[in-house]
Amino acid sequence: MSRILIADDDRDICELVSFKLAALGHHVIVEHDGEGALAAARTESPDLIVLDWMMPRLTGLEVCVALQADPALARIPVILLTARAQDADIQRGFNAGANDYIVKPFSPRVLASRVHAMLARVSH
Amino acid sequence: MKEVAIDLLSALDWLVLFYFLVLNTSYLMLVLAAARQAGHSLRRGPTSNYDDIFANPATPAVSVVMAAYNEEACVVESVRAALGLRYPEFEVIVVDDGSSDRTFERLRAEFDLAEVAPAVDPDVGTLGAMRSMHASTTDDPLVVVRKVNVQKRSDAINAGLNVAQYPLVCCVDADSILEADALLRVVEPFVDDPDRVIATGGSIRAINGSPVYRGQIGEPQLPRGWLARIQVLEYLRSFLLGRSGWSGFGGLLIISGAFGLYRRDALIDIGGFDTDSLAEDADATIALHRRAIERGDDYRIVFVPDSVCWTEVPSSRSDLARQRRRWSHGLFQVMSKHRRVIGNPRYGRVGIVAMPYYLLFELLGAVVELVGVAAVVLGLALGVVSIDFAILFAVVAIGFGIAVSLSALLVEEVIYHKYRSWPDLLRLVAACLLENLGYRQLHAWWRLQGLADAFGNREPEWGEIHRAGFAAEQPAPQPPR
Amino acid sequence: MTIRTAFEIALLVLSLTLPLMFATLGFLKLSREWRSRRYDQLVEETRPLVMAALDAPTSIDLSGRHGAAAETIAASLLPQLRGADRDNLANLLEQGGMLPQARQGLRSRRAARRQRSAELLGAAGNRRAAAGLAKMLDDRDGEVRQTAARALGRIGDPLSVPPLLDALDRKRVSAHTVSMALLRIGSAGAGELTIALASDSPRVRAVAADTTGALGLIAAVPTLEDLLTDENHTTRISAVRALGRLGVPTATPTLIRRLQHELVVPSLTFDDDYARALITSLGQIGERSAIPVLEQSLMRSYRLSSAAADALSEMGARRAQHSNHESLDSEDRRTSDSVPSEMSGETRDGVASTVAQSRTPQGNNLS
Repeated sequence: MSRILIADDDRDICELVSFKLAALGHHVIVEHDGEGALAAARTESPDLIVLDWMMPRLTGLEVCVALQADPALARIPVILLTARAQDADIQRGFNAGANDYIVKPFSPRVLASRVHAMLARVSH
Repeated sequence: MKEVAIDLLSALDWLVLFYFLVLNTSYLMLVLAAARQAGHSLRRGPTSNYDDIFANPATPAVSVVMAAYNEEACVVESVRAALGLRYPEFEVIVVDDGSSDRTFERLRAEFDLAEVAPAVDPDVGTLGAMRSMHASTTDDPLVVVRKVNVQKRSDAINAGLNVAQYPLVCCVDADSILEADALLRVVEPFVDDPDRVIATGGSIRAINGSPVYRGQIGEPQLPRGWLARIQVLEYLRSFLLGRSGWSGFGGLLIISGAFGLYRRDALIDIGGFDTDSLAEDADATIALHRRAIERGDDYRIVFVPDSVCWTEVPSSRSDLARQRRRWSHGLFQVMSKHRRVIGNPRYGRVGIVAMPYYLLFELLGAVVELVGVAAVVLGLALGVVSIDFAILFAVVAIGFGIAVSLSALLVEEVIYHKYRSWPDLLRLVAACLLENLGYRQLHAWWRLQGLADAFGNREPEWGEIHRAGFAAEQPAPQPPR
Repeated sequence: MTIRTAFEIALLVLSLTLPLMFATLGFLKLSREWRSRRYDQLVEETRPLVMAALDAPTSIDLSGRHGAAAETIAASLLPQLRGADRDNLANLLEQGGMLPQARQGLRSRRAARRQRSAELLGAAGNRRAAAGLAKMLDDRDGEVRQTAARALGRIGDPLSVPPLLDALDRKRVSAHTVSMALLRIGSAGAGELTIALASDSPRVRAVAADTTGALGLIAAVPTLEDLLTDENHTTRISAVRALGRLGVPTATPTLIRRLQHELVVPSLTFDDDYARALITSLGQIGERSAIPVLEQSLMRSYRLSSAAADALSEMGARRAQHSNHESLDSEDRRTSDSVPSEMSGETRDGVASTVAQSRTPQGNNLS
């Protein structure tokens, strides 16, 4: 039972992903903008973060960079989930510190599998 | 003698009445036409077109050109807004037009600028030489050009035009905050109809008093001062609904300098923006119409109401007066420069309807309004006109104006709904009243002064515009939708 | 009629209209707030139902109030999803009757209804609607046609490719929309696309070339090389770009020849866009044999030389990644790293300074 933070300004996507992950037994924290996500990362100690890129206040990319800069948070695995699909975007995402990059349209089941795999890898 | 005076005044009264009727009816028609278009697009429901435009590798890249002169208070936010635009490929070019304040320093610090060699092919001549060129060393596609100031905004934009490398150019002001998807929306006519569309414009709204955080506007708030509030209404009626109506008719004469998207080759063809003109945005739009018509092109110049740019409007009376005087002066210059188009059937709707309308109602409107007031006052003084008639006249004129303003507000409430709170709605209603009870008359006076400037060929005052900067965001949670 | 009477009538009209307008304004705002509250509540209730349906679509009853809200939620989620969850959601709409209604709606007399139906069917990826949507490519309303094309792209049926290309040819739908739809349909449409490269319509050839490049259809390279000398400007450029994207080295000799030819034509017939596209594509393919002609391009106008410098630096950066560094002076190293070592010393300095001059300062090309 892990703690997962999901941040996306689209409420339907947040509902969907948190529903899926909760059904698999995880505790899900939901945020709708970049600042909220960063704050939640600090206070809620999530085991994994799923981030949208285009969000108000702070973009997902900026959140990634901020997480990397903070030694207490840098080890939390981050999955970027975004509609930005160009090669350059993917490169930027990984350069900013994301551990995985999922392009929308996406399959929620596959996302859940990736989350599990990442959690398993990290716990070793 | 008295009979002659009476007849004259009577004729004048009828003329002024007729004028008011046509003017306000035309406003009403434009509002209704805009409402019809907006309703039509509402009924069609949300579209996936914007997602496609974003995802499509064939979407044309855009060069966003921003001219900045002494804008240290807002330039960083505006550039942040531009860099945060949701658009697949674009660059932002800021032209520092010889600022004497810390505009450049703030940009350099915020974006880690490094100097690069300024080698460009000048497609358009510029009066002020380029001094240096800088590019951002972070991830941002930002270029800053520093040039010698010649007191003309057009020159700065033209310098940016020379540096722009993409087929579409978006001209914005240094105090323009574009909404995140504004570029996607304003480019839509270009991608849906690439052979015909040569320029598009978005709507301009007043940002005074609304919170801005890292280049994004939060929940729009009505500005504090009544002058700014009245301008909100004015912009709604003229710049949003008015232009929407004209665009549908095929007679959009002004794409605002604060937010316009053009084909780069078309702009270069007309020689860039006219450095002699005070209303270079109107001049460019009309020049584009002329070029296309004279070439026999099947073309379109389109207004996109859903694409929004928030800009700071003058909040003090003196700044506003100067701005309106300048606009009036500029409009005169434009009408004079393009006089061959006025009434000319060769230029279709632009020549036969749009240009004459602007001449008679926008430009000369100030004259007629004041003549009307003068006629009534004179009539009172001569004893020709009774006091209750004078009152009747005033009430009807003001009442009709209020009706038009209210209709614009109704459209805004139903369709765009940017201001959510009840207090803001009531304030806007109050602004409808105030606009017609003093503001219009003041405005007419300023416009008359501008006309006098034009005739006297006086140099206009730009003055130092007092920038409030953007209101800082309170660190409060987002209000629920 | 005296002027006074005219004014009096106007006053009467205004005194009726103005209060009415005030009242309408207040009423509209009230009703909006009420409807919005009710709607938000409804959506909150319906969301869990929709989520549950992702695993078991038939278990949910979507009649009545929940139906409309479910349709909206599903329509907004569907374009962002893929796979089994998306299919289940689409199934939900099918069982709930919304998709059959939408298919009917394609034939509605009102354009707004036709458009909304097409959007929903596209979002749901409803293959059964593909035939009806293909007919809609000929609709009398422009926006409806564009929506139909987008929907066909999202549905992804390769049988839609010929009608899409036909609509493109007859200018019923914009090239931009058709190319996106073809991209979404993907390599399943490869056969039709290759045929389209030889179409009579230059518009179709150009879009086919673009899409072929974007989809990585390497088999099309010979045909694309032929299109390099196509009579239509846009088609030529699309072919060049496609070859660059495909990155196949065998295309290099043809591209080099074309660029050499372009560099010697008289300035009136010189095609700046075409030359730059050639330069960029040669850089993307990255064959060393292109270096001489790229060096030649450095001597030309700013736009050409900056494109050539970018291309050379991209080639050099890739080489530097793969090969061992030769020992160089530390000053030379920074600019020399981005310059292919095959080049002569003089030209190398020239390129290095052009690269330094290009508008993107070093450090922007993240490897």
